Amino acid sequence: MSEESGLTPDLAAIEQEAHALLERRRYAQARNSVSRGLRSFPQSTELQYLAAFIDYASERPEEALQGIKALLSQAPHHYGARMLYAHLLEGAKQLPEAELVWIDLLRDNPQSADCFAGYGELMLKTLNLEKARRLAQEGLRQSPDHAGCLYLAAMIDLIRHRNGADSEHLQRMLLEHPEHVRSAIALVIALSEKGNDRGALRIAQELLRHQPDSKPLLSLVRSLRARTHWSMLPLYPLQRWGWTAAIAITLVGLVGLRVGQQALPPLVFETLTWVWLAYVIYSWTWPKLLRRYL
Amino acid sequence: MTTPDDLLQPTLGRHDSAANSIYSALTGYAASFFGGPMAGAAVALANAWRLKRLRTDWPLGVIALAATAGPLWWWYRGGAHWVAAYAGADAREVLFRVLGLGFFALAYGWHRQYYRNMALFGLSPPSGWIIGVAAVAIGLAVEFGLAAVLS
Repeated sequence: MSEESGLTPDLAAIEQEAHALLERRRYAQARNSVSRGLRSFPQSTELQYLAAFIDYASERPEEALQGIKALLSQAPHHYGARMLYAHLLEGAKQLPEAELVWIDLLRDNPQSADCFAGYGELMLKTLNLEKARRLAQEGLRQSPDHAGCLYLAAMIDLIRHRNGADSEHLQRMLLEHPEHVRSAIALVIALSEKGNDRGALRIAQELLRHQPDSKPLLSLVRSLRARTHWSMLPLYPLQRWGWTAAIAITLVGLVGLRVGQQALPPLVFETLTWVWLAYVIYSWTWPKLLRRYL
Repeated sequence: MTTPDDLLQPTLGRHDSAANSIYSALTGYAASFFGGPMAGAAVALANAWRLKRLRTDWPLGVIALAATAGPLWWWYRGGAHWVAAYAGADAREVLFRVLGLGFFALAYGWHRQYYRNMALFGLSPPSGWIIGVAAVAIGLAVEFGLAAVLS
């Protein structure tokens, strides 16, 4: 297939090969394949798109942005390129610009659940929860089992409802798309929400084994490892019930010590005061230090 | 099949757009602990302003004012003697902190879904030092002012 071998390169075969390599996350080989193809077919929009996508996937956002802008100047309606452009703008924190790209995409593709999911996720990242909910709802109306929209709806359930870990959307996502990485990530978050950090850690570690270069997964595993470390056991109430537990512990300490000052022998009262203070300092400082250490 | 028009209107980057993050729960907790309900309200209302929700969140300010003025009114009309008899003369500080943390619990519940949204997506809050210190100063100033009026 290569030029060196004297055979005529086949654009479709190169594209197919690059797609297959991308699916297997073999970015270096995919880049070689696409570069070879671009030498023979410099005008191929699909190859240009793949080149930008490989840059994006291998965390070279500036190169990806440059490539995608060049591609969009030639093919302004390229669907995949516009989606990638929106994601790249989000990554570069150009959120209003990214939103305009999503809106244009939705105007041109009003039935694309992918666009509803992408725009909804941007809304969720900018605290526009109600709009994100409506976008997820609209996307699921267009495509009831769409993985991206189900993930979005499951995340919204986790944010809005105390029993969000039992979300119907999450269950549907796990049922319809068990192979999807996002299903596993949603499950990890839901398990952690329910207090099962060890179960969540096992799944997250398995995911990281399959995608060792994923920074978000690495961060998730690190955070779960910190939460399940033996030294965090005394902080279980704070981990499980968050600020509610922090308020309760502070109030119990304040009122309890106040009562104890009058009712308890001085030595016992002083010991309890130091224990409580040590616990408060431990709870504020140790989790941060542990996350840094791990 | 058409997409509802309002979904296709930009939400970000306008002069009236909400901010993408709010002050952390830690800022609200510390301000409420050291500055009482009014300090907690100052942080909660700053968050409401960032979220462009002041129209719905203004009652937090009224509740904080009532939670400061009510106990002070009671304190200067027999409450101080009652507390001194049952909890000791210097229990006022403890009561002030209990009220502050109680108010923080309310404000946290009020904005809970925004805090959870930020936690779930790892969004960084803005630095809370300036607003925190200002909120504590406001809380203490209001408390002393009300104490001077009601005593």
